[in-house]
Amino acid sequence: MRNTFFFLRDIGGNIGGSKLGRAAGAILSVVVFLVLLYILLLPKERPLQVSSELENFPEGHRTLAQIETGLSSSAINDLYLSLRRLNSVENIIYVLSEEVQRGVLNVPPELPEDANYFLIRTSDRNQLMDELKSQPGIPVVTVLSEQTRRTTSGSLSLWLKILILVVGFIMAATAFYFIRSFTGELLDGWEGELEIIKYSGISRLSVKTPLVLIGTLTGFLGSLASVVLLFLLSLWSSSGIWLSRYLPGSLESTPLFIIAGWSLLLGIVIGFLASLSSTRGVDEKWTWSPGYNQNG
Amino acid sequence: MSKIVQIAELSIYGEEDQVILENLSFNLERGEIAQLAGLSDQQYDALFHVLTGEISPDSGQVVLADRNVVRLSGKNRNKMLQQEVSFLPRAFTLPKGKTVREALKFKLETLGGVPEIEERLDDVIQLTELAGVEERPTGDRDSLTRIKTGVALSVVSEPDLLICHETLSSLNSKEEEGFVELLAKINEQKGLSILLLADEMKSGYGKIRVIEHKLDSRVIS
Repeated sequence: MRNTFFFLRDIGGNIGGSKLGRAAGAILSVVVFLVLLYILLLPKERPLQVSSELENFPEGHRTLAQIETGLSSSAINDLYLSLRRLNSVENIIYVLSEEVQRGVLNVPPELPEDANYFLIRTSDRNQLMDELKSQPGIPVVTVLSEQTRRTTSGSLSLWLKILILVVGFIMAATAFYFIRSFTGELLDGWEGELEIIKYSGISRLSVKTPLVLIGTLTGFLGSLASVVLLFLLSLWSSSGIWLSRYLPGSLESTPLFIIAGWSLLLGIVIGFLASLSSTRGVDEKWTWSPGYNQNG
Repeated sequence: MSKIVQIAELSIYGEEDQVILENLSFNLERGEIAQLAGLSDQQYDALFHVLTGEISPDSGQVVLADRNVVRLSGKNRNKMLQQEVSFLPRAFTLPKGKTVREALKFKLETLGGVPEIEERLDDVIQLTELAGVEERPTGDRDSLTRIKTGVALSVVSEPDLLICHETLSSLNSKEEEGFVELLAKINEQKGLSILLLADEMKSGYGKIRVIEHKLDSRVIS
């Protein structure tokens, strides 16, 4: 173990120039590969609930009242004051059609996206429903549940999915190649040290371990970068960025953490396997058989 | 005087039972410097790798520093390499981007370090006549200095036995003489036993005994 850290430090000191370029290429390939996976695998269904800007949509506002289209601003204002006076209403939030279209509020598929809405918090939902029945200017009232809605605009065609899959596979292979050649180049640049180590009675595992650690770390860095990107997109989910529309809009979302966990694991596995395959060079250096180099 | 190298009836066969070495026997006394001459490149290669324990011979005994290399476990073989026997292979590759001093320090640290490491390095650099070039990169040197650096790397761990594998081929007569002088000096000052696996020297050198070995007549050359 002592030698592993000593060798790790010594090999790490050799990273620079083209080796650094290969490491950067490896990290970038892992990021692209994982982002493509996100596009393929992120759920095209989103929770039917307020997706962002929670400070404007506090908890408990689950009754959605559609405002009749064509009402003037003053009429909507009167309607708001009228609803405000109802006994069952605790709070009302006015949601513009633009906000609905931007995805700040996801309305059920049967409701139009070009309408304005009131989002109401109530202490007694049945009483509220009764009171709203007699309310003019409110054609539809519904209750937001945990059910989900498929966003048809984001669904991918089969051909696009296949294309993404192929490109994703190529990127994974590229990442594998870059990490393998990165650790392989580190090994080549360390040939003299290897010869010293070999004839010093040090096990080849002590040499392989730091190389595998460096490769795994490279894969991990790539996946970490993609996860950071994922969380940033999720944070900006109301910004209109394409991929971010499928994200939960909260950093405390369990699915997001599951995806992040899988991404990190995938990056680590690619880095581990690629660097492990490059350590065959150590075995070749460590073994000799009669008949080898016979003409030498 | 005890024997530090004992090779008895050593046979090595290649693929399809090709004879590489057959019934090779010789000894080296402790504190002695000797040369095993008269083998082909392939035979030297095979013998060297048997001595390092990388391959097992088909038959025969190989005892280095009182250890039977043929029956040595991996752990004990590593212990032998760390403490008792040093090997200087043919066409030894020196570390790139390291000075002679850094390379020597790397070897000592690989072995777990020693107290007063700088004093040890100074001592070895003086012994191997590398003073003045020890702060220059290992790759930036002539053949003799390269071999001296290889020898320094081999003796810095203070082994009992040094086995050099045909390191004379790339040297001219003067360089060869300088190298052999150096080995003789180390042998004399440190009492290090040295086995030189090299073909005939360009000029004979009295301080090195040429080993009379028994080798089966069927050995290929």
